[in-house]
Amino acid sequence: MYEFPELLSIPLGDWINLAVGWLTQNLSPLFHAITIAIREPLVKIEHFLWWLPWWVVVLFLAGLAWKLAGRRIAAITVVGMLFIGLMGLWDETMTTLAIIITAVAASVAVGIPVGILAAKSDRVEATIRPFLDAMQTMPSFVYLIPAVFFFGLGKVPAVVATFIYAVPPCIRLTNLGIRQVAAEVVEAGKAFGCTSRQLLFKIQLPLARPNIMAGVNQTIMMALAMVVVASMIGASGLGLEVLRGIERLDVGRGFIAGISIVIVAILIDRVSQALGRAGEVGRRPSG
Amino acid sequence: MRKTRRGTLASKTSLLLAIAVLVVGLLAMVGCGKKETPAPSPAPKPLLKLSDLNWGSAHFQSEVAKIIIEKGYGYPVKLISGKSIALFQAVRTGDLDVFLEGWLPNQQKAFDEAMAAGDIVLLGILNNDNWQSLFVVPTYVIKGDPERGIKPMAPELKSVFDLAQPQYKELFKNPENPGKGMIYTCLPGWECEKINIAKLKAYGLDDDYDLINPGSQESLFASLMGAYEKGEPWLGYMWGPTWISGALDLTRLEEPPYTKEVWERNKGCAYPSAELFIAGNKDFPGKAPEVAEMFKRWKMDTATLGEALAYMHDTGGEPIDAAIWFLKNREEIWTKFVPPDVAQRVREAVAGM
Repeated sequence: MYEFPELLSIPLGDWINLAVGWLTQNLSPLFHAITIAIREPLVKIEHFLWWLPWWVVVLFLAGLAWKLAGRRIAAITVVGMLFIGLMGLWDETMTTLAIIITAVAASVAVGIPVGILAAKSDRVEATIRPFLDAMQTMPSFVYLIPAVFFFGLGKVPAVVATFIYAVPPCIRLTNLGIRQVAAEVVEAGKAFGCTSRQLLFKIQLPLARPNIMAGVNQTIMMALAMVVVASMIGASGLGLEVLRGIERLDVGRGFIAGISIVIVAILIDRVSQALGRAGEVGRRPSG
Repeated sequence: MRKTRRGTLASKTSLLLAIAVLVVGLLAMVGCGKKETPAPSPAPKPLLKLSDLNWGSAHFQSEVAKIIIEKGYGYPVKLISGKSIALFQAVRTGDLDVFLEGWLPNQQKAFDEAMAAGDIVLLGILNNDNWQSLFVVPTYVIKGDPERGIKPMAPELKSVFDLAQPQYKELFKNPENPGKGMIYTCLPGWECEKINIAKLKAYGLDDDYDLINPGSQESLFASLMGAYEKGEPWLGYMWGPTWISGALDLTRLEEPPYTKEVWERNKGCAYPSAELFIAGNKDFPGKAPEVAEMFKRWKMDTATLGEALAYMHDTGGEPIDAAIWFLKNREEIWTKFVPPDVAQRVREAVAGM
C-alpha cells in the first residue's frame, strides 16, 4: 500500500556507474588533453606567484586597488595581505589564487560567449537554463568523485569543479545584460545599417557591460566559495588548511585559513566591482 | 500514608504496563505482515546512541551492533552518523554512548586526553591485525596483468629504498612538478599525515617525491580506483580493512619491520599494527552493563571485515545488508560476543529479515 511497486524501479544508479566507468576507460585521451590544457597555465601561474617576492605582490595589489577602488581599499589590501603573510599562509594563498585565476579565466572565456548565444536565441536560452540550474544546485560532491576518475587528483579536477559551479552567473548575467539593452537603441543601430557583429560589439556589449561585470564578479565569488570543496579532491592551498583544522577540531587553525579566504574574497570583490564601474563611466565603446 | 503511596505506585505501574501492552499491540497491528519480534523484556530500557562513522568497516559494525542490541538485549538503538572527530567529542560529552571504531595511534592525542579527563572508558580492542602503509602500489605495476594486457612497469620494484632510482621517479611522476615523483598521502589533519612526512625524510626520499594530499577518503579511493581501471601507475597511502584493499590486488613495498626504537627516532620503519578500539561514555557501563560486556568481547579481524566490506561493495548493498548477511552466515564469530539466550533471539530475528 505504502511502498512503491518494485517492478517499476529503474536501475538508473547502475547505469550511471556503468557510464562513468565507460567514460573513464574510453575517453581518457580527451580527458588527458583537457588536463594538460588546464594544468600547464595553472602551474605556470602558481610558480610565478611563488617566485615573486611577497612585497612585490602586496605592492602590486595595493597599487591596483588604489587606482581602481581608492585609498581605503588599498589600505585594507595591505593590512589583509600582511595578515595572511604573518599567519604563515602566504604560499597557500598564492596556490589558491592560482586556482581561482585559472577557473575564473576559463569561466569567463566560456561564459560570455555562451551568454551572448543565449541572448541571441530563445531556443539556446531555454536549452541551457536547466543545465545552469543543475550546475548551481547539484551537490558538488556528486560530481567531484567522477572528476577524480577522469582527471586524477589535484588542482585540475578542482578547477573543473570550480568551473562547473562558477560559470552559470557569468552566462546568466551576460544573457540578461544583452537582453536588457533598450530595444530603441538596437533599432537605432539597425536603422544606421549596423551589421549584427557591429550591433553586438559596438552597442549591445558596451551597454551590457555593468551586468556582465556583475556576472564576472559573481563568478569570482562562487569560485572562492569552492576553495574548501576543491581541497577535498586534493587541491592544496587555503582549503586544505581549513580541512586540517576541522579534522583536528583545531578551530583556531581553521578560522585563520577561513579568514584568509575571506580577505582574498573581499579584495577581489572590491577591485573587480570597481573595474566594472570604471568601465561604466564616460567610457566610449572602442573598436 | 506510606501504604497509599505504595498503592498508587502499584496502580501506576499496572497502568503503565497496560499502556505498554496496548502500544505493543497497536504497533504489531500497524506493522502487520512484517515479522517483528517484540522486545524480550517489558521493562523500558534506555535508548542507546551508537556512532555511525563515515567509513565502511565502521558502518558495517554499527549496523551489526544495532541489530544485536535491539533484538538480543532489547534496548532501542539510534545510530548517529558523522565525522570521526565530531563523534568522538560527542562520546566524551555523553551525547553518544558508544564510539565504534576508533583507530590508535591515529587518534592517540584525542584518546589520551579523553581518558585522562575520565570522560570515556575503553570497552575493548576489536582488531589489531590491520595494516597501513604509505607505499602501496597496484600489483600490476610490478607484475603486470596479462588478462588486461598490462605489462609490468616496474618488475624490479620491491622495497621503499628502490624508489630513489630515477626510473621510479619518472614512473610516478608529479605532473604539476616534473622532476619529482609523487605519493598520495594520508588525509588532512590525520596523525598519519605528519608521520608520512617523517617517513619520507627517514628514507631519504623527500628530495625526490612530493606528498600529495588527496583531501578526503573518497577522493583517495577514487584516484586509486580511477588509476586501477585505466591500468596506470599509482603509489600512495592505503590501509586495511577497507573494501578497496579487499577488492583490488594491491602490493605494499617492503619497509624495515617496525621497532619501537626506530619509530620513535624517525619513523623509518613500517607502521605498527594499529589498534581499533571501542570506547564508551563513562556512564555507559552503568546504563547498559550487559551491552558493555558484549563490546568487551567484540572482535573482528581484518579478514572478516574485508569479507563483509567486499560483500557490501560487490552486491551494491547497504551496510545493513552486509550486517544481516554477516549475522546469518558468520555465526561462529558473533555468537562469541553474547550469551546463548541473546544469540538465540538474534538468530530468530535475522531469520525473518
